[in-house]
Amino acid sequence: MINVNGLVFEYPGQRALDDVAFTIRANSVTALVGPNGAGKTTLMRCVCGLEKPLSGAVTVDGIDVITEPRLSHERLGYLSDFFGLYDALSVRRVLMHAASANGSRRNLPDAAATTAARLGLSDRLEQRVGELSRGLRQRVAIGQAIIHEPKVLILDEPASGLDPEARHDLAELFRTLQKDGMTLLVSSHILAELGAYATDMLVIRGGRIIEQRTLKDTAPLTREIVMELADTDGAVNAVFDAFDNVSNIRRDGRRIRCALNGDDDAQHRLLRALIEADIAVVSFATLERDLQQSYLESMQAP
Amino acid sequence: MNPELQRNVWLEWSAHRVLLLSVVLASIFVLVTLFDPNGFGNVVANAALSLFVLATMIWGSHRAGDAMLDELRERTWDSQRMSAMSPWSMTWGKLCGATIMPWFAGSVCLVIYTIARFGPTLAERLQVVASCIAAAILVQALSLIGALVGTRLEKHARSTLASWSAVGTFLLLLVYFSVYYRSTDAIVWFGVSCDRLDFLTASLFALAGWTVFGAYRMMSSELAVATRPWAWSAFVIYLTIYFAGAFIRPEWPLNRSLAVFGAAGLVVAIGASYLAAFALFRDPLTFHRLATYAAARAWRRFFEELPVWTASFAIAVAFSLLCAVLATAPVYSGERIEAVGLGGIVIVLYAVRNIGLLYYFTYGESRRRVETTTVICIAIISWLLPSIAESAGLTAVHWLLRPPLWDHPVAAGAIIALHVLVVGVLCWRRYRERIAPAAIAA
Repeated sequence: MINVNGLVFEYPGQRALDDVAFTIRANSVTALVGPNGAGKTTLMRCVCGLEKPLSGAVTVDGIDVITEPRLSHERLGYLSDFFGLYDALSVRRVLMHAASANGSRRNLPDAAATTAARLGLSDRLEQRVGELSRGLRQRVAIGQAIIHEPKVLILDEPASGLDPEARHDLAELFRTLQKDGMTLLVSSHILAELGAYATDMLVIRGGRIIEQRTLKDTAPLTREIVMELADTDGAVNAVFDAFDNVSNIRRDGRRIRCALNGDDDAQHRLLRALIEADIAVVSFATLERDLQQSYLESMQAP
Repeated sequence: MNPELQRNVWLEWSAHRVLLLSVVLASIFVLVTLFDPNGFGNVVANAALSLFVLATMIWGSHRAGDAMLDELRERTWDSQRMSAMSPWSMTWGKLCGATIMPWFAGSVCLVIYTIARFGPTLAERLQVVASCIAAAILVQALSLIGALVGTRLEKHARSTLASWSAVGTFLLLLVYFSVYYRSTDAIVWFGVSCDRLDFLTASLFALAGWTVFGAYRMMSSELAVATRPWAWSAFVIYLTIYFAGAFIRPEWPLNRSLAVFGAAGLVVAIGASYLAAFALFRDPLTFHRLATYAAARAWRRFFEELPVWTASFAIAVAFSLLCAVLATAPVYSGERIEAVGLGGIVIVLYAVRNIGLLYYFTYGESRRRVETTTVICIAIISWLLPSIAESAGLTAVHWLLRPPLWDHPVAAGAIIALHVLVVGVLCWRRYRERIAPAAIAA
C-alpha cells in the first residue's frame, strides 16, 4: 500500500532521512518507532507529500506522491502532532469542510453525521471546536482525517496528552479502522499502547530504517522460552542437547531462558522431555515479545 | 460549492454583521447627504469611492492576507495542504471568501457612486466602477501573494513582509492615480494614440489578472504542485513590452527600436531578478538539489527546483547581450537609454555579485535579517567605501570598488567579474562548511 524507495531528505547541514526504503502492506497497522530526532515526523511528512525529498520515490496505493500530491491526498488521511482545527467552526462544519476539501463524493451532512457517530461525537455536532476538551478535539481531528474514507491513515503521536480512557478509546478506534480495511502508520512514544494494536513495526534511527518486523498475524518461527526449576539441576543440559532446535541457552540460577525454533508442538515436546527426565520444572512459558522488547532489541543492535 | 469559499462564508458572513455594516454605511451616506448643500450628488459619490477604497483595499487586502496568515497562526495549513483541493480552487476560495464582507460594503459604495455621480455618462461611470473593482482585486491578490511568501518566513518576518506589501501597494496606487489625474492627454503606446482612461483601465485589468495568476502560481508551489518558472518569465516579457511601448515610435529604424526594447527589458528583468531573489524564500539546499537532479538527469525536477529569480535573470542576460551587439550596429544613437551597450553586461555582473552576497548571508549561521544585512553590505561596498576613497583621492581604490560603468565598460566589467569571483569563492566555502557537509560526505 505504501512503497518508499531510496528516500533522502536533508536539512541544511544534516541528512534527516538517508536512503530510506520500506513497504507497508495493505490493511496493516504499522508502528513507526525511534528515538527523538530519528526522522519519524519528517518521514511521515514525506509520505504525505508535505515535504519534498532530495531524491527517492514514494507511492501510496500506486500513486506517486511526489509528482501527484493532490491526487494522492484523496487516498491519504494525516493527523499531525498538533491537531490543526478551525476553532471558530462547529464540529459539523469542520467535518463537512474536511469531506468536501478532500474530494469526498458522499453527501456532506450524512458524512459528517456518520463520522461523528463513529467517533462518539454525535452529541457535540453543533458545539464549536474551540470549546472542546483536548480529547474531544483530538477525536474531531481524527474525524477530519478519515471522513473521506482514505485507504491510508498516517498519525503522528496521536495519543500524546490524552488520559488513559481516551487512549483506550483511541486503540479501539484504530482496531476498528483496520477491520474496515484501512492501512495505518502510527508514530508514538507510548510503545505499550502501540503494541495493543500494531501489527508491524518500523524502527528508524539516525534517519535510517534499521528494522521492519511483523508483530502479529503470523506465528513467529523462533520463540523465547522461560522456565524456572526447583533446583539448579545440571541434567537439564542433557535434555537440551537432545534438541537441535534449542539454542541461545542462558542460565540465571534456577531461571533458564532459551530460544526454541518451532511451533506449539515443538514446545510441547520439549516440556514433555524435561518432565520425563524428571527435571523439577516449576514454570514453563513462552516470553511474549511485545513492541517494547522488540524496539529495545532493535535499538541495542549494532 | 468551493470548500474554501464555503468555509470562509461560514466564518465571515452572518446576518448580524450584514445588518450592522448596512446600518453603518447608511448612516455615513445620510450624514454626507445632509451636510452637502447640493444634497445627494458628487460629494456623496466621492465619499462612496473613498469608502470603497477603505473597504476593499484596506480592509479587504487585510482580510485576503489574513486568509493565509490565520491558517499559519491556527496551524491549520497542513490540513489544507493535505486536502485534495486544486491550487486554483484554494486561491479563488480564499480571495473571494475571506473578503466577502469588504466586497459587500464595496458593492454598496459602487452602487451609490453610480447613482450619485453627476456629469460623466453612465458608460464613463461604469468604467470608473470597473477600474475600482480591478484595483481592489489587484491589491487583495497582492496581499495574498505577500502572505503566501510569508508562509516560508519566520513569524517576525511575516509581519515585516505584510507591512512592506501594504506600503508597496499604497505607493503603486498613488503612482497610478497620479498618472490618471496628471493629465487628460491621450497615451501614445507603440505610436498608437489611446484614450488615457481606457488605457489605464485596461492596464489595471491586465495587472490584476497577472496578480491573481501570480497568487495561483504561488499557491500551486505551496500545495506541492510542481511548477516551472515560465510564468515569471512571461510576466517580465509582458512588462518589457508594456514599458517599451511608452518610448518606441513606429517611425524609428529597427536598430533604435531594438536598443530601447533591450534597455527596457534589461531594467525590468534585472529589477524582477532582485525582487524575486530578495523577496521569495531561498532554500539553502536549492543548489544541492539542482546538482543532484542534474547528475541524475532528472531535468523535469531540475527546472521545477530552479529559483524564480533565475528565470528573469536569464532574460536579463539575453537583453544585455542584445544591448552589447547593438552597440556595434552601424546606426547607433548616443542617447543613454538607447546606448546601454557593454554597460548592460556590467549591470548583469553587478546583479550576480549582489545575489551572490545574498546567498552568502543565506548560508550563514543565523538566517534572520539576511536581506537587510545584504543591502547594508552592498551599500558599503558600492557607495560608502568608494565615496570615502574618492574623497581621499584614492582613485585606484575607488575604481576597484565602483568602476566607471559608462565611460569604461570593459574595465568595469573586468573589475566586477573579479568581485563575482571573490563572492563565488566565499559562497562555495560557506556552502561546504555549513549547508551540505552531510550531503558532500555522503
